[in-house]
Amino acid sequence: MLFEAAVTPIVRLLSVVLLLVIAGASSAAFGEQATPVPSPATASRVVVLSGDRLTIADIVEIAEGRAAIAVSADGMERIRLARGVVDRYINQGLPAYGITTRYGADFKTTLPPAAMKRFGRINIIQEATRVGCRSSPRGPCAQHGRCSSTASHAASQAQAPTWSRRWWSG
Amino acid sequence: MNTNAVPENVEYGNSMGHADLTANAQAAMSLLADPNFELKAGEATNLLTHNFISVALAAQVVRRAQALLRAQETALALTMEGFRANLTPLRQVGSRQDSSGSQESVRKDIQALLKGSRLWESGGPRQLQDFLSLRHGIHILTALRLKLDQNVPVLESFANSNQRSPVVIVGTQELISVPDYDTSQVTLGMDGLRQALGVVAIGSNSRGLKMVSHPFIDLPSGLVAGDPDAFDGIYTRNITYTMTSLARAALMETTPVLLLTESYMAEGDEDYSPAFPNSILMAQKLVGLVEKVSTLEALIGSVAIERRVRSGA
Repeated sequence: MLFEAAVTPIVRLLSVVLLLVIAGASSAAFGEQATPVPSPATASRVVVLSGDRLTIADIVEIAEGRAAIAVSADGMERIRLARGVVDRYINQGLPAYGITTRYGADFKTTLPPAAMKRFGRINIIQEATRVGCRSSPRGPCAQHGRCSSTASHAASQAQAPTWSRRWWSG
Repeated sequence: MNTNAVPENVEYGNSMGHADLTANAQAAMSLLADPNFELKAGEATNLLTHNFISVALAAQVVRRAQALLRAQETALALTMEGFRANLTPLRQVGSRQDSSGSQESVRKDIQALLKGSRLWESGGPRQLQDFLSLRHGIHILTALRLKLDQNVPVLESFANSNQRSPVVIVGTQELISVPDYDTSQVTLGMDGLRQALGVVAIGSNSRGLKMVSHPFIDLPSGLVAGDPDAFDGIYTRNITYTMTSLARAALMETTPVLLLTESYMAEGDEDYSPAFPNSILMAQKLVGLVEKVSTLEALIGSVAIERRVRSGA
């Protein structure tokens, strides 16, 4: 039986969070008045994330604050089981690309668990490169008309040498 | 998330790398800043390598396009009523197959909108043949409907799929590499949707122009009572300039981007995945512009109806 990667639902939740950011943002990005996103806490509908039944209508309802979300019990169990497999790879030092190894040309380099956590953190920071003021729909750029210097930007610059080694991460 | 605690500093579009890579990383930064969040080994890869943001934004575009289709059907019905169009396009004559049912759907919507119209009465005043964008209006909207019908299941499949590697197989306790993050299908779908929206803009603009232009229509140009400078109709030049400008601006957002791919030169997804966000960003602008064109067409159609009611024509 094929299960999704261990933290897939977490990523999906995160994606929906981002939707809330961007939902009222597309209009702002094109010089229109952004519509405030209502709080999902007041939504009467709850979309249960199970991993296989999310519809376009659900996504829009969540993004526009008309539905709250929950994770199904079955979904949480799948996360637990899948994470157990990941933990086995980590604890036994088995090679798994991007899980126990580094990326790209460094894919043969395996790291101990503590180093992998630090590597993951660094990887997030270095990938958080900014792409320009005008592309930030709800952030400081749109609100104040200027770019803000962020830790992610500085960190990405600092990590430039490792960035270049990710030339084939596919 | 249900309390609307969302990261504020996330940018989207033009990411080098996996389509949503930069936005994913910026969102993950907010997690790293949370003292209660612990990043476990292996989680960074999953937080970064997916395209759920793009899929979700594409879903919003599709929903807006679905609403736009309904608005366009209304505008077309108003134009048909205002022009006193022939209703032959609403007849199923069997000369064209409609395997998807998309044309039948549009036809039924228009029939419902025109329910009770005098256009259904036999022997009413008709021109022998209406102008082309009016005759083809239903087919143009059918193209949009078809693209939406095709796009929805593909997008929903992506929304319910794992888009990253590796994948866990619990049964055999394995982690395997599965390159399921290619976005060609959804990019192609979004490109096709934009093409269909572009044709809708062309048709709507053309109908609007001809509705205010005698002798395409039997009413005076500008739909005025007689004096071309009167303000009781639609001042022809302004509204046609506006509609055409909007339609042209819309067409600028229809260029397909799937093939703007640097291919696999770098042996990674870095070079082509950004096409999906680019197509979505263009679609967002495009839908907004076509909404405006549709509104103006509906306005013109309504004024034409009013002119006929007032004059008893």
